[in-house]
Amino acid sequence: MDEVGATPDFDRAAAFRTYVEPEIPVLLRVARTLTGSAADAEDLVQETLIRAYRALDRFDGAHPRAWLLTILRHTSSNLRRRTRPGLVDSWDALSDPRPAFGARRPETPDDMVMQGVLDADVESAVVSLGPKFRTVLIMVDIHGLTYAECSDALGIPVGTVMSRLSRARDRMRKHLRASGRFS
Amino acid sequence: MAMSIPQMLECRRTRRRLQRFLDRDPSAPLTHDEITEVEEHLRGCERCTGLVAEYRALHRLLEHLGATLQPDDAVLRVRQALDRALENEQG
Repeated sequence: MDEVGATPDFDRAAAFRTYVEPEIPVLLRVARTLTGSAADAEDLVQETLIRAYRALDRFDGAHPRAWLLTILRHTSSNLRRRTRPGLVDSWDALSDPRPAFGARRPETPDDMVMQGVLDADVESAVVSLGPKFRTVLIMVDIHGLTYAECSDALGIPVGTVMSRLSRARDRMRKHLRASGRFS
Repeated sequence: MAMSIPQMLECRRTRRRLQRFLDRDPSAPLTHDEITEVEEHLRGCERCTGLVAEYRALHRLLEHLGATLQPDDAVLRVRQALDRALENEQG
């Protein structure tokens, strides 16, 4: 496929709106998992978007999310050399309601009770996983990335994503079974 | 009731394919024949069907958790910061 910048009337701003802007929420979620901090996630995404803007003329238009996740990973590696480490080490990074993610509030008292019970069990199971397994599980099962997108974001082979995911799910299943969530 | 060795082998083969069968991820699709084999096994195996039910329940729980964690004004803040950065870049 041709690069999107190969046409004489290439409009960088229009290409950015088409290919990049729809992916900003996903980038923020993944960045939050990679950095473990809402503020760092916003910085990382902003830097990623600037790099993407500059590189748009070399993008082939085929898989914008995969392309952006690869830029995000490279940018994260560069920033991390200057700042701090990678995989999400604590559930707080995902569940902290400020400022990148606001936990949506339950609407009724029953909802609040149900959501509290549900989330506590599931969160405790997620927390029990090691960081490598937790990160893959969060990206695929909570953020909805495909195996390939997760592979691009973490810079690991698809087979490794699949094996970590499989082990993470089995541990989650066993944890939830032990806590009585599954009979 | 004790399982025969062929049944145990069939369960093991099915379980190795189960997550790919449920995920239907484009990076790692099962072949048509593999899908048919898994479906046929599930029709006759309570243990593997129970496992499928657990994976599906887990998927729903995690999906629900994801739905409660919505990006709020972070998207807006990033867009605004980006607009400023790009304006500077374009001079």
